[in-house]
Amino acid sequence: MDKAVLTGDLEFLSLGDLIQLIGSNGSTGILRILSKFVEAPGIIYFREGNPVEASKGAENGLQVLYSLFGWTEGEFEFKAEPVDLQGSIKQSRMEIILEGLRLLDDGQIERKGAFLFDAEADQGGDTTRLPLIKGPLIDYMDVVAEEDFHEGQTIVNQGRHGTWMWVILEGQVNICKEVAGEMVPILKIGAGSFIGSMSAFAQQDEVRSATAVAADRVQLGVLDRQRLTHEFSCLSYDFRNVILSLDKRLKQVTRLAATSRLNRQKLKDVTRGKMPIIREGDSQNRLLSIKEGNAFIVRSLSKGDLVLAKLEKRDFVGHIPFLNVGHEPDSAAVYGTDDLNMQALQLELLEDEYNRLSGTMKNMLDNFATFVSATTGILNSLQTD
Amino acid sequence: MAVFNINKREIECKIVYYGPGRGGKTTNLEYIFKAYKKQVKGEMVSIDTEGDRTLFFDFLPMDLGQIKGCDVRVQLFTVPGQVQYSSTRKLVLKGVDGIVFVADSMDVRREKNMLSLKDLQKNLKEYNMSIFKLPLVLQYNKRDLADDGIPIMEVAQMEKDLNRQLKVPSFEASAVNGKGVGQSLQACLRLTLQYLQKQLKWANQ
Repeated sequence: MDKAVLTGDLEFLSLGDLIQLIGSNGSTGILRILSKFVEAPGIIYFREGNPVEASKGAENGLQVLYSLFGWTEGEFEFKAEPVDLQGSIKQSRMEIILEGLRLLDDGQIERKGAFLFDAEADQGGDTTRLPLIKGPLIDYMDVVAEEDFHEGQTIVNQGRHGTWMWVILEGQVNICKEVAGEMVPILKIGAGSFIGSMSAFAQQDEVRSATAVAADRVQLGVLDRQRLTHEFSCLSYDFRNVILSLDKRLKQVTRLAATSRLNRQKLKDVTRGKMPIIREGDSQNRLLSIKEGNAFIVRSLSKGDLVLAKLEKRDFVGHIPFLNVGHEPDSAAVYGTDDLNMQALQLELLEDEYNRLSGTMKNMLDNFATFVSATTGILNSLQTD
Repeated sequence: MAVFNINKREIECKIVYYGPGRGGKTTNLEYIFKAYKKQVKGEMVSIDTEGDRTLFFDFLPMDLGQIKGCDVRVQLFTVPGQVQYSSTRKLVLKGVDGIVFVADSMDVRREKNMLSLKDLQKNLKEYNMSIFKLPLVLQYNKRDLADDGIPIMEVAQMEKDLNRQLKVPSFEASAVNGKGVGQSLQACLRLTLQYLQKQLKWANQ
C-alpha cells in the first residue's frame, strides 16, 4: 500500500499540527515535506504515530527534524507504509513539537519561506549563497517547444530585445543583473520557475531587464505566448494592472539588490515627519490602485529607511490575499506624495479572477511574487549585515 | 475542538493553563502530575522557554465517565506568556477545549493579571474563539503568601478585576501545597465535558 493518504499545504496544516494528527491516528509511514526554498525534501518516518527518524539530503536525526519546523511554507505528503528502520529519535512527539516550536520562536531554527523581514536574524552570514526558487510542475499544454542549454550558456541577455518566455523543466538558472559594468548574481531559480517578463504580455517589444545564465545542464520549455497573451488580454483592467505592477516591483527590487550588492545603499530618513498611509504591521487588508501621484514602499531598518519601490499611476498598493510579495502591510510601510490619490480595488472580484486563471498563469504569478519576496529578503540581509 | 479517535474509542480534548508569567501555571501542572500519578499517561514534557517553562502531559480523568462510549483523554498544557513564542502559543491554543486562568494574588501583580486575561481574549479571538463561550475557570493562586506577610489582594477585589464580566467559577488556591489545584481542574473538566456534550447533541439533531 504505497499511495499517498494525506497531502496538503503547510500554511494550512503546520508541521506541529501534522505530527499531532499522525500521532493521534497512531499511523506508520513516511511524511515528505517539500519547500520551494530548499532543494532536498524533508522526510520524517513515523512508527505507530511517533517520529522515529528524519532526514534531509544526506543528514538525518533529531536536529534535522527540528530544522523542518522552519519550513512554514510548502507541501506535505504522508504515505502509510511499513517503516522498519531503527531510527535515532526517541523523544515523545509532543516534546518534539514543543521544542521545535520553541527553537523556531527563539530564532534558533532558520525559517524557510517567503522572505519576510521579521526573519532578519536568520539571514545573516553568507550572502553569496543564493536561495533556489522552484515552482510547481508545469502544464505541458502551454509548452510549445523544448530547448537545451549547457552550463554557462546565456539564455537571455540584459538590454537585448525579446518577448519569449520560458519555464524551467530541468536544471538551474542564475539570474544576474548588470550594473556599472559588473554582472551581479541575484537569484538562482530551478524547475517550475519562469524566465521572462510578464510585461511582455502588454507590449510587443520588451527590453530584457536581467541576464539569465544556465548554471548546469538546463532544459527549458518555450511557453505558448500567444495563448498566454490572449488570456492576459481577457483579464479585467484592474487585474492586468496588478500583474504589470508586480512586474514593476520585481524590476525595482532587482535593480536595488544589484546595486546594494556592489555598494551598501546609503539609507536616508526619507520618512521623517511624514505619516504612512499604511503602517508596517498593519492588519488592514485593503488593496488600492493609484490614480494620481506617487507611493513609496518603505522598509524601516535600524540605520534608516530602505525605499523598495516607487509606484505610480495604475500601480497597486496594499495586501493581495492570493499573492505573497513580502511587502506591505506585514513587512513594509507605504508613504505617498502630497498629491497621492488612490482608489480601493474590489478584492473579491480580483480573487475570483485569480481563481479562474489557467494553471500556467497562476504559477507564473506566484513564481514572480516569490521572486519579489526573495529578492527583498536578500536586500534586507545586505543592509543589515 | 475535541478530536474523536474511532480506532482507540477515545475523545481527546485539550485544557490549557493560561496566566501571567510566574503566576503558578507550571506549579499547578507539576502538582497534578505528582498527585494524580495514576491518571497520568506517559511522561511530562517540559520545555524551557524564556522566563517560564512550557509543560505538557496526557491525563485520563477517572470519574468523568464516558461520552458516547468513548473514554476521555485530556491533554494538559501550559502556554508560554512571552510575546515571542507565538508559534508555540498558536499550536497550544489551537482547538483548546477548556482554560484554567491562573491569576497571581500578589498585590504587585494586579495589572499583570488583567493584561494577561486581555491577551488571552485577543489570542482566542485570533483563532475565532470567544472567551465568553469557551469553558473557563479562574484560579486565584498564591493565597498562602498572606501567611508570610506578603500583601495579597482580597478575593472580592480579584473578582471585580477579572470576573466582573466573565462570571465564571473561581477558586482560591495555593499551588505549591496543592490547595485548590484539583478543585480548579475538576471544575474546568466538568465545564468542558458539559460543553462537548452540548455540542454533540446539537450535532446529532
